[in-house]
Amino acid sequence: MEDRALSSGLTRRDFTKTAAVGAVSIAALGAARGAEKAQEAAERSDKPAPKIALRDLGKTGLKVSELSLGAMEVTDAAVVEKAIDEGCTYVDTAASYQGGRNEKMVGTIMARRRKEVVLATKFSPGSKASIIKSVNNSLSSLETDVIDVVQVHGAMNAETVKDPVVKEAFDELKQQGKVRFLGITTHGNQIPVITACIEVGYVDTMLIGFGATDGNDLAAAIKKAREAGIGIVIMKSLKGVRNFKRTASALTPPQMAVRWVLDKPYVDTVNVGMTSFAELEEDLKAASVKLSALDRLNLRRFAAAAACTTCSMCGDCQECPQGVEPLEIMRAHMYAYSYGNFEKARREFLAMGGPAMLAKCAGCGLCETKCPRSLKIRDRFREVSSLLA
Amino acid sequence: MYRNRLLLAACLILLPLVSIAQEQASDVPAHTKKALTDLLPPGGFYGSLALEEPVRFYNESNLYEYIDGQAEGYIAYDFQALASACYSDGANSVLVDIYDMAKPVQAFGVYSTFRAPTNDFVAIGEQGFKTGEGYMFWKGRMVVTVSANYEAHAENPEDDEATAFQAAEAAARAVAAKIPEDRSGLDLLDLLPPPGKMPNSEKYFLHAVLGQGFLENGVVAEYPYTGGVARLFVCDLGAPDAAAKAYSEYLKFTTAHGKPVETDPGKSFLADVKYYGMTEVFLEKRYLAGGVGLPADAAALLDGLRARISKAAAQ
Repeated sequence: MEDRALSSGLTRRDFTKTAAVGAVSIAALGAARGAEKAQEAAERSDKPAPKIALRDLGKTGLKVSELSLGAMEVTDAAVVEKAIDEGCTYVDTAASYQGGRNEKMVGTIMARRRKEVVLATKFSPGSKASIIKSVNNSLSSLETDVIDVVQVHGAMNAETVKDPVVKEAFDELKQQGKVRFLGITTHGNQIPVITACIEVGYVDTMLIGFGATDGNDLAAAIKKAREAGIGIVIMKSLKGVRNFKRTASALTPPQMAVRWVLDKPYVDTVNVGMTSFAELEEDLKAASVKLSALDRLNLRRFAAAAACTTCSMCGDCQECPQGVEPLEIMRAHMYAYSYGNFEKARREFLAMGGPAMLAKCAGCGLCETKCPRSLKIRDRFREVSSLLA
Repeated sequence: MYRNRLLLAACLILLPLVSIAQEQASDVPAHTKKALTDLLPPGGFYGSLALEEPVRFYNESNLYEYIDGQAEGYIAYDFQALASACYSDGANSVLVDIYDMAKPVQAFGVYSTFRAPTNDFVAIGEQGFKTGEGYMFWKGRMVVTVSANYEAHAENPEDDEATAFQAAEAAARAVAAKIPEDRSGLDLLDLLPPPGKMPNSEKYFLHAVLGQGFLENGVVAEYPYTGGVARLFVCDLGAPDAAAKAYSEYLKFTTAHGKPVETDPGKSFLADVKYYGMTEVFLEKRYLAGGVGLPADAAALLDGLRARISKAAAQ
């Protein structure tokens, strides 16, 4: 086996053990690859149509592929390079991913392909010094002189957005030519965060969790942000869809979910986490397909299934013989559990006389029989009581 | 100072939310909760730090609420549950997070994604290293992170930082002492030949070894040479049929990104592969192994790997 003759006339030993022959072989292959690259460069100079359609990233003046790479889950730098080859021109990472290892992995590719992508990373909120230190570390890890979009990682409230320290640190870094645009990422309490980004007026981009199973309120807020000129990057587009099996559609549920978001005109790019070449290929298809009526129906099914655990605020539960107003309690529950805004939840709960109201509950469960979604309302009462009372 | 206050505030804010986490993680089995809670030191391991009851628990469905942006990294390794405990003396705090990864090899896998050969390593558990706020280590089926935040005083911030690390180290050692030793499944690492291997470069992947969806349950390590870094890998696919299928998939991928030459048809191929460089792959019963980014003279490296695989396959 070791010395079996190859079809090329070489042997494995020739190929890997004999340095001279190996060097010649690799040199030949390298030359061939060089020619390929020259050809690619020539093609680029003719500006062929990009493999993935480009969209404006808000008012930044940058153009990004509508499907982009979230590097967080990528296990190998080769996937990052393949994504760039396939037309993904926006790559997103973060200082905290894998304790900084993720940025270093992306950096191995940026060392050669930096000019081809819009590069985004994140820093954790903190002092001005800590933000500047984090961005400087990111520059080093990413092997670049400038980061296109530097983002506050995981803003959960308006205060984080409005923190003057963030703007001061960003301005200083921008003045030094190290960063170009400021972004905010959010995955909880998103609507107030989006509103704050619009209000401050200096946020260039937002990375927002949004998908087919989300409500219209969030969609409206995102649309408003885009109208204000903020570049909209969407993550978590597969939320609520991941666990569904293949349907009768030609598309997989993830492809449907990505396409659904891509169809929103107020979205600039969908940032998808791609672990492997196979996932990359699956997601790439989403950029070149259209949703059928069946696909849309399937997505509504997924959304309905996700909604089974969400109160629609219909008010059907209100006819309580004890005078409890379940809808009000559910609203407080929503603020606390869905929006993560405990301050507001508590304020609303106390304002409505929540403790006294809950004390009146006899636990009969009539409200649950009225709920069209069969929510376990009494369990939520207990949750609200333990949290807010 | 800011960070200290932030963590202390986070600790204090999160405490009232314990009931939420417990409700939302209601499907963390009681025995798992107990097993994780039993690993926590009772307090007093450093100064007057005391455990702030109760402990918070998270499962796969709500881990992102606690470590969004990193949850997927743990979930990819079959994360089971997290116990998060805060110790406080009123002014200072230590946060201990214990991740149950179901199997030692998966615990090592998560740990290895955070580890870099250049880390400041410490002998805690199987191995640990210093992070910006404390320590991360693994032992048995657990991955543990410990963060300490001590009130900084303007006159001696270095002392305060040193104190914080001492507290974190005390907590880490107290937890490590309670985790039972278990290295089952880690023999895969022994198949990577030691000569030329960069220390602490080994990684374990449950899925998508080398970014390939068809390569599972594998280890990868780096072998630097003049002008580059080769990576050797070994996947244990569980059965010869599964390994043969993975070989076939790999050959298909390589054909799409290079011109493979099968040195032993159905069992071994060689190619210069786009994205990976010189690649050699071979099949041996349930194992698929090889190297990528290989130097011109990689025979010694690959022969060492092949010998180890052959021995393991024969057992």
